[in-house]
Amino acid sequence: MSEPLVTQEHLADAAFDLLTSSGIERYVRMAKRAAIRAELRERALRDEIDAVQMFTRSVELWSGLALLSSRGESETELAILITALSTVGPKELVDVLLMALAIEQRPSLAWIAALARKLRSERLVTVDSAVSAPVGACYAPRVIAVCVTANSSSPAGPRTSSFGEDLTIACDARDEPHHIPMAA
Amino acid sequence: MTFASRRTNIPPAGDDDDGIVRNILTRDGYTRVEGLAKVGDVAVYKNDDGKIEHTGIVCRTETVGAQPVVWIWSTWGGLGEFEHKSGVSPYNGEPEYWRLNL
Repeated sequence: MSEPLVTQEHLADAAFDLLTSSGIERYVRMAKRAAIRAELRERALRDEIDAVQMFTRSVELWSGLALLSSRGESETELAILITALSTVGPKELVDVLLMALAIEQRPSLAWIAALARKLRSERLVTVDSAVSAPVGACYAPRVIAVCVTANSSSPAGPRTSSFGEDLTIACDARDEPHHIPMAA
Repeated sequence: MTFASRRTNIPPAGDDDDGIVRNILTRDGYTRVEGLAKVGDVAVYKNDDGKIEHTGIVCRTETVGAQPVVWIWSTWGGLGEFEHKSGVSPYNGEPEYWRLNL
């Protein structure tokens, strides 16, 4: 078992908040609050931890809880991790994890399953909004590519967009291997 | 504990409090108490959005000086049952009180 990614102090506070929740709405709110306090998103953005580490730890905790007949203390860290992952993790990885947790039927994972369903439904709404947005960062490379193609008849000259902007730097950057940023 | 005498969880684990509790209060004919709470009343805690997120039962009342003090018996999720003053709990502030009129 790997080391906890959340401090004991944060776990203690979060355990009280989560375990005193009798309804899922409060549970989700408390999990989000705990994830913010644990600063997992900030630590991920500073590269102190990465999403794969959080994912691996989540699966370990999940496996441990699956062996129990009732709720266990590792539920707290798992709730915090999946809540944080849902905001910073790579989309495919997080979707698979949340989907698998959402259909869990073991009593020891009832609250985690409900949390996963809520987080998943929130992500679906967010993704839908992003797709329907007319201008988004994910479309930028395609827009640039279309503009470059339009200017390709003059390979020796500076590459400019149809609005006359210099695209040289943007195109060079596009050709480099690039890190896929974490979800906003 | 409040509505099912510990026989089952209301709401079931992982469900929302607001819908099912509001439904019970309406269908069973509870009415909101405007004055002082009495033993047996249901205490209803709501969040900032007005949604129900916890309930308990008034188990005793007392007066300290001129100030009425209401004690609630309720189940704090997975932590167990507690007797607590109405305003001293993990939930949001002071509860509303609802009474079953038989």
